[in-house]
Formats: sequence, C-alpha cells, structure tokens
Amino acid sequence: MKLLQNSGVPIYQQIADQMRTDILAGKLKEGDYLPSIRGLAKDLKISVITTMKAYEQLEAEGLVTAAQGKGFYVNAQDSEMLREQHMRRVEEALTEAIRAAKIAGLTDRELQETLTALQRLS
Amino acid sequence: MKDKIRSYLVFATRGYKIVMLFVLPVFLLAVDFMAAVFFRGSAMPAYIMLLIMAEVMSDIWYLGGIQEKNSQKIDYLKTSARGMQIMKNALILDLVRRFVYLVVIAGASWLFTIIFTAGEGVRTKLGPWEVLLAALLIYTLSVLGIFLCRFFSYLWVNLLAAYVEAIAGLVIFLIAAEGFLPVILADIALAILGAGFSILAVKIAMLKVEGSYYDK
Amino acid sequence: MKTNSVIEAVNLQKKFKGFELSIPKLQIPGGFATALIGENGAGKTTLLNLLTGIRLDFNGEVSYFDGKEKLSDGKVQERIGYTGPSSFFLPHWSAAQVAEISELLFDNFHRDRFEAICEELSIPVKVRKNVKELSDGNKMKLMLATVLARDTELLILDEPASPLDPLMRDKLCDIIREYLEQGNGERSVFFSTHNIADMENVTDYAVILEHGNIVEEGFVEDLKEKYLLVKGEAGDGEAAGKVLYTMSKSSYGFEGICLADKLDRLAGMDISVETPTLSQISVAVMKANTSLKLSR
Repeated sequence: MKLLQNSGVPIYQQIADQMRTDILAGKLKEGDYLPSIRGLAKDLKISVITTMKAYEQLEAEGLVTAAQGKGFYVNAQDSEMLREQHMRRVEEALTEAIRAAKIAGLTDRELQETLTALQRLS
Repeated sequence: MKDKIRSYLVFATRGYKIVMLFVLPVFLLAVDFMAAVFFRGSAMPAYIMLLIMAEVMSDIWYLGGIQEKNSQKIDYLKTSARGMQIMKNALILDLVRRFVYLVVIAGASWLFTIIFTAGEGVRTKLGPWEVLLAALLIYTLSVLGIFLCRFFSYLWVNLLAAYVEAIAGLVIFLIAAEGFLPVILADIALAILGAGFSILAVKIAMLKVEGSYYDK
Repeated sequence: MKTNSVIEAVNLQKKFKGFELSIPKLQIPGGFATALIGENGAGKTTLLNLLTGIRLDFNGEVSYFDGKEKLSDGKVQERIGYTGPSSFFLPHWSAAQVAEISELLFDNFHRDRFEAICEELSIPVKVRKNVKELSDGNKMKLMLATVLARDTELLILDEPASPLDPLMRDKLCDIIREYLEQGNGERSVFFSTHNIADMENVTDYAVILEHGNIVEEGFVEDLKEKYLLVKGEAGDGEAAGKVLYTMSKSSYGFEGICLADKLDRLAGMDISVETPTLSQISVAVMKANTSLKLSR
C-alpha cells in the first residue's frame, strides 16, 4: 500500500480506497480478517485512529463487519449488493461523461461512438 | 528482611559500599586488635574522632541532600505504592548499621583488651563504662551530624560537621574520663539522646520526603 | 465512537500564584495514544503530576480504567508507567541500581527486558556511568527503559520527545505504536508535548490546554473535519477575517483556520480548502484562546 502525504486525499480515505479495491477485486475474500487497526498503524507509521476510521468507513459501506475482540472481517460480497454498488458507480461515471460531452459540444451519437471505441480497446 | 537490606543498599554507590561496609569495619577491627596488642588498651578514644568523621563525611554519598526541598530525585519512588516504605527501610537500616558497628567494635575492643592484658591488669583508665561512653558518643554525634547534613547536598557542610563533632566528642570524652563528669550519667544521657536523634532523623527525613508531594 | 476511558477526572483544581489549573472534566479514551498539547506554562506538568500521584495537593477526583481504580488504593500504580520531564532518579545511581530499585518498587519489572531495551536504545550503561553523567536524551531513554521493562497498561509520559533527537523521536513513535499493538486495545498512552508536530503521526486523541483550562479536545480525525485550512486572496482578507477562527494576512494573500460549519460564509471568495495538520489546529486553538484572555 502506498500512501501519499500531500495528495489532498485524507490518509484514512486512501486506506479505505485501497482496501475496497482489494475486496472488490477478490484479493481479500469473504471471512478474511483485515490487519488489526494497531498493527496496520504500526506498519504504516500512522495513528491508530486513522486506520480505525478507514475500517469504519468500509463497515458503513457494508464491505466489512467488526467482530468484538477479533477485528474486522470481509463480508460475503452479496452479488446483488455488489452489482448494485457497481451499477451506481457506472451511473455516476456515465452522468459525468454526459455532462462533459455537453460542455465539449459532442452529439449523442459522437458520445456513443466514443463509448464503443473504448469498449473495444479494453 | 532481604528486601529491607536491598532497600538500604540500593541508595549506596559502589564506592560507599566497598569503603563503608567492608574496608572500614576491617580497618577498625584491625586497629582494635593492634591497640590491644601494642598498647594494652582500647582504641575507642581514637575512634571517637576517626569514626565520627568517617560516618558524617561519607553520608554525603549515601543519602546526602535527601531532606532538601524540591528533590525531583525521588519522584521515581513516588510512582510506586511501595516507594515511601522503601525509603523508610533504608533510613532505619542505615541507623541500625551504625549501631551494630559500634556494638561490634566496642565489644571487640573490650574483648581484645581483656585477652591481651590478662594477668597484667588493665593499664589504661578505660573501664567498660568508658568504652560504652565512647561508643555512645560516636553514635549520637554521628546521627545528629547526618541528620543536620542531609538538609544540604554540599560536601563542605559534611566536612565541617564532621570536624566539629569529632573534636566535640573527644573533648566530652576527655572531660568525662578525667573525672569531671560522671561517666555512667553521661552514658545514660547519651543513650537517651541517641535514641531521640535516631527517631528524629527518620521522622524528619520521611516528613521532608513526603513533603515533596506538596507544592507549597 | 464507543470507547472506554482509561483516565477520568472531575473538578480538578490547583492554584498557584498567578496561575490556576481548572478542569471540570477530563476523560482520556482507552486503547489510544492521547496527546496533551500546550505551551510551556500551560499547566501540562501540573496536570500530569496530579494524575500520577506525584503531587497530592489539589482538589478533585481522579480514577483509572473505567473509573474502577484510584491511586489511594495502592494497586493501580503497578499498571501505570510514568516518565517525568527530567530525570527522576538519584543522580549517583548507576544503571544496575536503577534496575535494582525498579525491582523493589514494582512486581512486574523484568531486568532482562530492561537490559535488552537499554541495548536497543543505545543507552551507555555498560560504561559504568551514573545517571548524572548521562545526557538529557539518555536520561529520558533510561526512564523509558524502566517503564517499558514492566507489564503496564497505561503509559503517562511528560514531554518524552523534548530531550530526544529527531531519530530517537521517530523511534519513540514506533515504540508507542508497538506498545499499543501488543496491548490489542487494552493499553493506552497519555503524553504531553509543547510541539505536537513531532508526535502527530502517532496521536489519536488530542487535549489542548491553555492557561490551565482545556480549550479543545477530540479525536484527531474529528478535529480535522471540524477545522479547515483556508487560503485566499489578499483582497478578501478583510471579509474573511470576520469568518475565520484565526487568520494571518500578507500582501500575497491570507491563510487561516476556519470552522467547517462556517465555511459557506466564504462562498464567492477565491479560496482553497485543505485539511490542516494537528499542529496547525493546535496553534489556531491556542491563539484564539489567548486573544480572548488578552482582550478581557
């Protein structure tokens, strides 16, 4: 994990983002325990409260659950919930793209062509 | 008891332990022996000066300055519930040590004198009461001395007190030995004073040490 | 955030000539590293002396570990490790005597651990040095070694970073994190500092003391959401000055701390908003409270 000091993104946010990516990508599987908040703080040389806040955010998003005395473990990534989350992000991204297209003066057709081209590339 | 001894020893430097707890007693016993052999008598009067000076001067390296105001020096002891008891054990055992020394030395002195003058009759004017007088003078004056000196942590204070008391002790002894003062009476008076100063030394030291819990 | 409290105090009061420590309520959360931040003379050592029993002349009640233990019961001292702002040993003591007195004072002192820590921290104990011959940094390291060689649940450290060089300050932060990790939530650290910048990346909870009063406290992440660092153009300086908590101006622009809930009052101005460091927040809070006192 690489944490950037001056990126403007709070450290806890960076940690949460990194963990989320790992969870959604399947690198951290259902039932796996995240590193202890104090152990992670020690390894990253930051305050315990920062790692705690990162984990609490993940908990609020439903990605992990806190087990009393044991730490945070990864939730079963409900395919429905996962899909919904991903759907939301697709919708957000597309809305953003539509806005930008309008500013740039693209037509709907030009926008769809761009999408198709990109899909073929990836 | 072992812990009490450890409490006493922990305040002493290595040098203090070697000199005061080993070299000195051996030296004193040796002189006791030699005085009996060569002078057919007790060395106690000489000890009045020697031992008072040794005891009062060396204390600067034991608990010197312990009765000074402020003393952040013992804050470590205050972080433990046992700290004050350890301090008290050290103070009491220190006095016990001094007392034991005198008993042993006076006793040995008298014993050697008896052994080596057997049959000749004791040549000196020193009877048991005189030996006791010397021992009590040494104890009482050195306890008074350390009690006063522990308010300071200056070596010159200890040196001054040592010299003054050594001379005073010798003068009192001579006055009594020459008959101007009833020896037995002096013995009793000194025993009472000795006990009094001992209690005072421990109580005042603890008062001062416990006083460091308060900022006024 | 649900946390238990490792130190609780109510109605703390202590008067000196020209200074008064007055804290109606103090609660230090358990399982974290808390920083007591304040300028020299703010009352940090006074407060820590009360909390550790080094001074007994004060009003108020202090209790430990969810209010269950008091110093007067004589048992909780065993669970607390304290280091002072300067050496609290007898000057003529050697490291061996320090170990000896530690064994007498505490049941949970481990001599072998003490020696290993002295080795690790490079304290020159083998050279037969007395405490008074050690540098201030080494004296502090020695005090730390004695507390770390014990099995404690709470460390109370008075200005531990002050006599240490930057390398050792970094190591101190590592030591604190390691201590908390090994405790797995059951250990806490409470330290004071007049320069939070050195200890910022180990601080979880901050208590800011000014003139004997607590003027702000909170978890660092919460404080960083409550206070924002705002920078803007010189022209807006006048207007911004009325909204900002603290501010400094120059011909190039203004910079200051703004309370998050007042941020919208700066709408329309060309500003940048950043997360402040704990150091910047502390300075702002102390400045704001000093000026209140002065204007009275």
